[in-house]
Amino acid sequence: MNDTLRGLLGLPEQASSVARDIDMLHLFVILTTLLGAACVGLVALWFAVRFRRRPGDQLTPRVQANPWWEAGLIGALTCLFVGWWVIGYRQYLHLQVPPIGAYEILVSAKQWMWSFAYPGGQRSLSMLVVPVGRPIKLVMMSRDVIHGFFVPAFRIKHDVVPGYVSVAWFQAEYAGTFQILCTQYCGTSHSTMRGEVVALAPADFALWLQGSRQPTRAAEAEEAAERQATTPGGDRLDISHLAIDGDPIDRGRRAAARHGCLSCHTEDGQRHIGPTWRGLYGSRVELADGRSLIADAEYLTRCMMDPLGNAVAGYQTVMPSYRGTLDPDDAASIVEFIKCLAMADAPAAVANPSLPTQPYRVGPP
Amino acid sequence: MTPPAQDSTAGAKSYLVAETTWSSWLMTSDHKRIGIMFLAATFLAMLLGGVVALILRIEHLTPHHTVVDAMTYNRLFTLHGVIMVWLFMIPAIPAGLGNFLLPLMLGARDVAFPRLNLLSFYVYLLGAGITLSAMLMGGTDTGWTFYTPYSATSPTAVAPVVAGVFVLGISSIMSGINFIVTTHALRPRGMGWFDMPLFVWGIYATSIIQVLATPVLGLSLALVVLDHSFSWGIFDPARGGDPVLFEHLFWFYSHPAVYIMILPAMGVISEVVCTFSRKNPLSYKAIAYSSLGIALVGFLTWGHHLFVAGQSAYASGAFGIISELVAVFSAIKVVTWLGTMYRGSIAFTTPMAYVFIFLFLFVFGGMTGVAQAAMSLDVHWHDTYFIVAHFHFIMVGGTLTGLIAGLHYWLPKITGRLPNERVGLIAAALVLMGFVITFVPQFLLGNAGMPRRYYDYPVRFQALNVISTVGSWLLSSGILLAFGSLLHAAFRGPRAGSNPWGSRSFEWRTASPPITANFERPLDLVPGAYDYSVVNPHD
Repeated sequence: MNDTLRGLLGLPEQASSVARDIDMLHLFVILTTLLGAACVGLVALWFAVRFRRRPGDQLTPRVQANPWWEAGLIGALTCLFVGWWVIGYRQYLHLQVPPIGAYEILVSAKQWMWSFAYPGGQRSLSMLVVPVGRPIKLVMMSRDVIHGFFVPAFRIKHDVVPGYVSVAWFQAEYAGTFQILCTQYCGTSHSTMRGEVVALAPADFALWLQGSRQPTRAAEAEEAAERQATTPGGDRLDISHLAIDGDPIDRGRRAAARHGCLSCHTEDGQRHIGPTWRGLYGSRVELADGRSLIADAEYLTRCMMDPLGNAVAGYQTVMPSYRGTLDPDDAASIVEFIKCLAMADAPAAVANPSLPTQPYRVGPP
Repeated sequence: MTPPAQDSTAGAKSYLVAETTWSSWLMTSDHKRIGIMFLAATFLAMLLGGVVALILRIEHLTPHHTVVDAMTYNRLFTLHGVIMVWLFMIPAIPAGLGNFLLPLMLGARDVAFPRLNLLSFYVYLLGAGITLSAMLMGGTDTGWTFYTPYSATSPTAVAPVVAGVFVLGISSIMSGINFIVTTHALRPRGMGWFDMPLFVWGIYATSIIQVLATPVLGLSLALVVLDHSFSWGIFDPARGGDPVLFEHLFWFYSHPAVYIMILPAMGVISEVVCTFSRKNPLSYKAIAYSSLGIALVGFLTWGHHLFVAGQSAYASGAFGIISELVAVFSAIKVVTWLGTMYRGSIAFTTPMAYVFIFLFLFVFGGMTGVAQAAMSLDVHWHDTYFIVAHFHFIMVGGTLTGLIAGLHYWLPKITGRLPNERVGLIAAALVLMGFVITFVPQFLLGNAGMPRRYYDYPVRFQALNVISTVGSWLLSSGILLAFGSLLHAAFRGPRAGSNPWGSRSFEWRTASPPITANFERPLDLVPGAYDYSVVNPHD
């Protein structure tokens, strides 16, 4: 039943944890819609025959709607529509709020490609490799214009808006390859800005993570070359810092120094103008506005973009916003650097303990 | 135009033959002539936009390059959207048919500000000229939505297109003000608000939206030009601006704008249903109030375009439920039209055929809109061909069929000649078939995940795209046949007499075509515009 109707409606496979429920609502809504349109059309045709004009017809009786009927109709329709909304909104909220402990991947969008940075410092282009059966939280940023991250088989989509940190999540239900499409028009090659989600069994994923530490440099070199090619003159993007030596953590330290982060945040646990970065990642922080949360990659990225709205309690709000000046790559590598400062003391605090991770090197080589 | 001889019963000459020089048309302040000029101009725009649409569809016959390259494709879909929305859909029914009919339905001599009315037409021409001249500069590739920061950085001719739309907005505001004042001030003594023909309610509600929402469009487009040409950075995050702010501003106008496009068509349907069923509306007030309801509540739904843009989940929820409620008003109208036919005396004429097409397509298209307000579904559908199909179901299946129904219905009023029924019905059948074959596959493409504005698409989408393209040929031949037949009838059709359909609506209580002053005697308000239970002394 499910598969037949899904096929008739052209819906793709149901590869994520939410797809089946969303499709059930889809079927309910579309079948009601078809039924409604058919009923209206058929009643109209029936009336056209039953009350067709006959010779000599001049006058018709005056018929007025019964107010109770009208009220009943309005009430019934409102109930139906609001019912759809209640189901849809519950599912929408489920889609909007990533589960705690989800595996965080930083997504960077640009004209016209996707790149992905993993918690262990691995990176990939156009290919998002994820483990099956585990919630994946995407922390997404755009370097230029608005893009839309869409995986039809997962029924998820989120715009990636420059200057914002956009968050989406999904959980792949089985291993396979699923297409990523860009849904927000982003220029000449919008329609070729595609990618793939490769969902692997957890063991295969662990192997992939280990194997992909080596090709990282190759991937970066490839990306740097690609960026050179697509930004003639480099008038909008400063690419001079994209040296291809060093791993992301070194890059993070250098980016942090270059952007002046280290003049307020210490690496050794001492309180300074801003909170120390040592042990920050994965710890609970109390914010000035009363919220209390775990400092994860999303929170740290938000802080860089909107420090006032995410200020830690007890500190003066002197940090400037880095929206627009800090590109997603730098943001991602600074987050990696902050992560490794936490792991140096307390590996247990890391949010992704089950992942096979190699020991991080702290400090320059 | 070769005007028919004046109606034999009229003492004065009809507005078509009273004066026949070029300047008597170009400098006229007669709402009827201005209405006809608006109709002619918007039809030319529709023709141009339609040709562009056909090229877009032909391009999609194959997944990769077929006839144009990516950059041209992107400029063409922008052109199609801009032309169809601002040059055709928004002015066609209100400024064309509305201009012609509003004073006639109110028993007035003209609109409240006849010269402003003429100015509105020339401002429209100016805006159209600026917009289309941008074609010569290579056009622009931002889509009709002009989303920032892309529109601020696009190397194409964004500024002239946006400036043209800005000017068109001024024309739209002028017409809106004129119609509001006309409805308030020029009703004859004895005609209360609930005695007016229902089409007037549609135009009135539309005008409210035009006057309140269009300035916001002008403001946001002006800021886009400042961003694009002078790097102000209002919407550019690199300069501290906010791209999502533009989305809010744009949709604050552009969502109500879809009601600007559909409300007048609903007004046409109300008139046609009553006349050809010879029946009073099942509930006059339900239709009148629901027009106002759509106009007012429609202002509070814009955020449903931003469900995946990152606005707060609570804001999204509120916009979602309000969007569900606005659909109830449309549903009330549909049921009331159906009920109007009950125990009527239904003549299955061409305008009535379009009413049936409208009912079916509008209910299906409208309900797919309700479906999107069930928010998790919109996450999947957002920016896919599902949205394209939904929008065209309302705008082509709704507004365009409403317009064609209205043109067949009022052709005798405008020209004094009758349309050809046989050709009209064949064209209607072609339009319905072509429409379904064009746009139903697009719903399925959207379900399957094909994004909109997509030059190059994955091969698995090809079959449905080819079907849709073939449908577009049927649809366009149906539309061409309908308009060709209308044009032929306007010059060569049989004489109609003053009230060929036996309608009770007020605009039929004068000669067809009317004299320049509209009415020879003050409009007699008895019987009412929908009172088919008593003999009409005017027949």
